[in-house]
Amino acid sequence: MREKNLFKITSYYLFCICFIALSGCSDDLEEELKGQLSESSISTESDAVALIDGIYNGFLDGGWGYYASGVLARATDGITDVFVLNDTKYRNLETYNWTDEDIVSDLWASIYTVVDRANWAVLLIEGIDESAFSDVTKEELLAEAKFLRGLAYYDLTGLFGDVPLKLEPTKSDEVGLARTAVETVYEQIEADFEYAVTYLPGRSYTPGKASKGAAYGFLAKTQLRQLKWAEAGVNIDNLIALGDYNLFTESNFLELFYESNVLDDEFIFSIMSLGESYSTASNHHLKFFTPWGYDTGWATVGLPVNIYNEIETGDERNEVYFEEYPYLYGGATKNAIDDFGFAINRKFGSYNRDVTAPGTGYVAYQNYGISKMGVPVLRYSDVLLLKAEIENELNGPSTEAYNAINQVRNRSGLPNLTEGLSADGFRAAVLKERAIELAGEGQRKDDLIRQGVFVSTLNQYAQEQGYSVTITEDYQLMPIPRTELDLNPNMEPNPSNNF
Amino acid sequence: MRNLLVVCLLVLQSCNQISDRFAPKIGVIEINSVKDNALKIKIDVETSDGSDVYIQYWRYTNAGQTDSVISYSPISRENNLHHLMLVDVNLNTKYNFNVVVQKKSLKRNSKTYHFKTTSKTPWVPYYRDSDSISNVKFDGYLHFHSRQIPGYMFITNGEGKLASYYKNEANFKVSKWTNKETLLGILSNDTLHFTNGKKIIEYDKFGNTLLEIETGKDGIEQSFHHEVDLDANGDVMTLVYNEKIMDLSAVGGTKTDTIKGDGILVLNHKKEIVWQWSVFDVVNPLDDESILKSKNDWLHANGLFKDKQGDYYVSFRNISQVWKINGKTGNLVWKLGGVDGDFKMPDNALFSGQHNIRFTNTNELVLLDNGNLRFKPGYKQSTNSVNMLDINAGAQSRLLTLTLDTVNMQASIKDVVPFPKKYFTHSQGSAEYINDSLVVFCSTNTNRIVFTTPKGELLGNMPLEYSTYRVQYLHEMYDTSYAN
Repeated sequence: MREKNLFKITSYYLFCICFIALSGCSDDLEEELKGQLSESSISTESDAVALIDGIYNGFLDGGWGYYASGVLARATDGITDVFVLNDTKYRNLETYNWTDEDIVSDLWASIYTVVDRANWAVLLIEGIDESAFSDVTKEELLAEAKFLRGLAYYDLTGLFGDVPLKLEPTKSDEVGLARTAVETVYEQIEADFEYAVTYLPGRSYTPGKASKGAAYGFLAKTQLRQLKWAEAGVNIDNLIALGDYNLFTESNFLELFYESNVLDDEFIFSIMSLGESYSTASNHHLKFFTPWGYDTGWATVGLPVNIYNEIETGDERNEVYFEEYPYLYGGATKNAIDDFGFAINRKFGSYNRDVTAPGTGYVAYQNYGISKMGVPVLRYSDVLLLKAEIENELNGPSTEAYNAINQVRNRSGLPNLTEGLSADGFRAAVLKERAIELAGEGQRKDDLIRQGVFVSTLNQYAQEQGYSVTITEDYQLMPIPRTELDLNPNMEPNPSNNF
Repeated sequence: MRNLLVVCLLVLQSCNQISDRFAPKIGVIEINSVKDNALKIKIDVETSDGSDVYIQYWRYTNAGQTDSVISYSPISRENNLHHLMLVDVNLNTKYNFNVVVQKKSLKRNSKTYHFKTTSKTPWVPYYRDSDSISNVKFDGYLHFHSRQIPGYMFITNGEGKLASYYKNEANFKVSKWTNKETLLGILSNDTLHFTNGKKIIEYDKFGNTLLEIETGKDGIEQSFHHEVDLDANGDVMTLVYNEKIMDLSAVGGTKTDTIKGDGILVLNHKKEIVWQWSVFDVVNPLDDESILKSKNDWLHANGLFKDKQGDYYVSFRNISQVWKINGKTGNLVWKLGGVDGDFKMPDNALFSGQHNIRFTNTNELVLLDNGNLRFKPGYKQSTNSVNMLDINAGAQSRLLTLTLDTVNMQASIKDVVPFPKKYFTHSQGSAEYINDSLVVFCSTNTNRIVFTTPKGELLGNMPLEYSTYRVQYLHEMYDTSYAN
């Protein structure tokens, strides 16, 4: 028993020694992983502002797409009777020969890029701590992002009708969404603009920044798409009541479009060119609205003859839309209607560059495609004419309605509109006034649809131009790009995909 | 007896672990994001005393997880608490990693862990069409910047993926990856001027600020422009604007007219001036008949290079010339190109509005010939006679390698890469060989990084959101021979 105990004791000590030796092999360090990575490393106000700047940049798409270079205007005004496109590249669009399903596919891509940037901005800015903001509030930046997202969806629905409603940023190559009924998309657009109305400040130094006024304006326009006249009227009145805007009367109407006037308070919202270099953030509008022989423009496009002929004598806008032009080589007077079959619309001509290339001749040609020209998206004259139109729809051609349209007419040196018009007569007068005032600025298609004259007006236009086509309501929506249909099994075509 | 067996096994086991016992140990590994930089991953590691540590990390390149790309972090040496940082990771990527600890010849790997990087950084302006460079793959990296506020310096890898970025609230006008693995930039708060600023900043590759030099501070009066780099001694060399007040009444100016000319400034890291030079030391503005027109930016230097002998080379855009400046005396040694160059040159070797000058190891001059017709043989620059339609029509930028025979004063073409005309850049830019079959060309005016063959055939391009003054090829970001 004793021996056994001794052995037990010995082995106990040996065991202890070995245990100590073994545990001694690992000093007191134990491998262990701690910590984690955060999904977003964005934490400062300047990052948030950079996100917002990125959305604005998307509207110029490098200077060559979406609002820049007349791309959107061609897909909106370009299919109507106020903007004729004789360029080879846009001839099929102009003549309603839309068999190419990718006829406006670039726009689809550009606009969804803007939507995605806005979705990222909303997601990431929401994640930033309030304390990071000093110059602007978090809500203000979110409101800017939502305003821009609203505008992008406003443009998408105008072009394509039902569209996939994406409110989350794209993180992977997930299968595309199906189209959402346009009514639902409008609800979202209105929600974004309403948020913007609540949190955005009034007019800043530049129309290039989203503002309360711009949000009221686009809220009204979205409601007008749905023929919600009364609600739109309230928002238009709210915009006017801000008192931030007025018509440009400092000089001739033409000069409103000069580079030096891009900050004028007639502009409620514009896509601004930074004019920095040929390839960055410059707006190349100056090359896409006029023919070469006039001012080295690259575009054989202009104002169709019939609308041009409706411009009244004494209308100052005749300086913007004109027939007789000085030929680039030698300066002899030539006739645009003879040469091109349309009147020149020089809202965005090269000679409006009184900042980046002041002067005429070669001097005006320098800096080539660079300009600081803005793209007006919402002007006060547009607002006043909408005011007149809404008032007429709600209460007939009242004094208020006349007052609104007459402000715009008087600014261009025209007398007051004939008094005592019927509601129909007044409606037609507003429609014509809008066509002349806003040609080339992308308003006409909505105007025609809203007033139910899209089919009749464009059939007449097609006939006048000699295009053998019968316009139907199917022409209100552009074809869904073929790539989208191929890649996204949930995507449905528009009727125009089968033209 | 059974107990004895257990005891013996235990003794054996403890012997087997003798070598393991001496290998350094790993304790807590802590991985964290870095504030304000999605492409920096911080990994703190606790180890036995006096160990070296690095991270080996890899991403799989195929679904079967058989192919991978392994990378190594910079190493932390002889410590027990290591602050490591990964500076070469891509967005939206899952990585596996081990901590590797070594001391003398003993090495230990931690267990394998993993992390996934941020999926997207839309607030970082970069480029938007990755498909456009699907035909371009190379070993190494590119460095460039984004001229916008806030400013960014970038490093992209050979697949065009963003590998590293550095942000500043101001705007990088010019930037350079240096021979000491640091990043230098000229900063400015405005977005108007292309290439000058009042501040120089130097970062290490982890993003720590090493040096800040400001105009108007530390006895430095000049502003900086177009070039900033470290020389072989590790001193900062830059181009500066010098102002000289002169009597220009003889040519129609005033008696106290101001001319803005170029200079070289070399500063050490204590911000002491090591060497300086001014263009006014070697030429008289009154010898330039058009000085009144050009006095606000006379000659317009846009590139600086220092050779192994310590002499400087300055590129002047307005006169399409490269000057050699004696690095000791400041004397003008020779002028190459332009209307009064000292070298005989064949017509096709003449360059115009050039940028990005440097000498190769075999002593050839390499530059980007912007080819903007500021100067061509028998065609002296004149603004009046230029027909508006032909200016720069058909102009072409080229990467030019010239052999200079300084005995017979003869320059000849060794190599030329003509770039696609649609990427012509009338100002700014850079170009260099990445390898024998690939050339990178920074076409600043078209906002593109363009890749071509040595014959100038287009292989791909990276469209940038904002412009960069130049693009620089880096063979590697840092040496990783310790991992082998």
